[in-house]
Amino acid sequence: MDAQLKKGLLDVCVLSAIRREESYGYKIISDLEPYIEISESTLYPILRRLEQSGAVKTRCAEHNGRLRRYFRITPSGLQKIEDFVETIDQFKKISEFILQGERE
Amino acid sequence: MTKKTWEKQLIQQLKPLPKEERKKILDYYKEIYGDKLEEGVSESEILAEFGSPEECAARILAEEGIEWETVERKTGNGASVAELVGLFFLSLILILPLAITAAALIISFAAVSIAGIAVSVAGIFYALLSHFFMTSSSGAAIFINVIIGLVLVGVGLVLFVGFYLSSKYLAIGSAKALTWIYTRRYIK
Repeated sequence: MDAQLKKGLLDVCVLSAIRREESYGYKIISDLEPYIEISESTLYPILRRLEQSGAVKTRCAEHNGRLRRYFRITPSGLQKIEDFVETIDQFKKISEFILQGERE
Repeated sequence: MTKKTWEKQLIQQLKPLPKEERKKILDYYKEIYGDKLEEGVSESEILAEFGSPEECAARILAEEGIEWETVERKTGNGASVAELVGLFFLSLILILPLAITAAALIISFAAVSIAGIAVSVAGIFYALLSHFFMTSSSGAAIFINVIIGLVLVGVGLVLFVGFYLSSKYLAIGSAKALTWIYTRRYIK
């Protein structure tokens, strides 16, 4: 997959992974793995970027005697998902056009 | 590799980042390490999944817009044109005169140390041969000539040793300085 395209996709994937309830690094990776290739080193910069842009908020909580950082989505993060869904709709139209050209 | 060395190397690779940021990244990996361990994954497996500390750091740094580049005299690839032009003018204005001065000093020091050997040898001959050519000289005069010869040997040796060492260390020092300037890493 195109690197630039994947980068944009991953942001939305991570947001979707924490949409229903807050989550943490390992769980986000495990939830996304069946759908898209993502490693620890890829996830970290995404989380950092999303946090800086205000799309997610974080909190630390204890788990089995160690600290875990939990991420939850903000209204701005939800908006990002909505924007992406709109983009997908446009994409569908464009891909139909491209596929038509293929068939002819 | 153990978890400890992995973490140590990661921190080392992340040096361009501020301290708090480095700690945050380390905490992030420690947390995932703990979660994987709880899932029953072994230490070596986890570290293999993480990949090498260099790779992990490179990915994070690339995202931060930081890339490590090495400017080498031979290859030069990876260095931007501006950096190379800068390095060229730096060489022309600063390093070239310094290098010439250093080379001149090294050569003159070496010359003085060789002259020191000549003085020593001359001193030995002076002491040994003086009384053959001074047929009329008294015992005291010969004694004084021997003393003068020995003093010359001493002066010659001091000159040789002192300037030989000076030129040697000056040469080593200049070579080190040059390598440092031309191969040091630049942070973008």
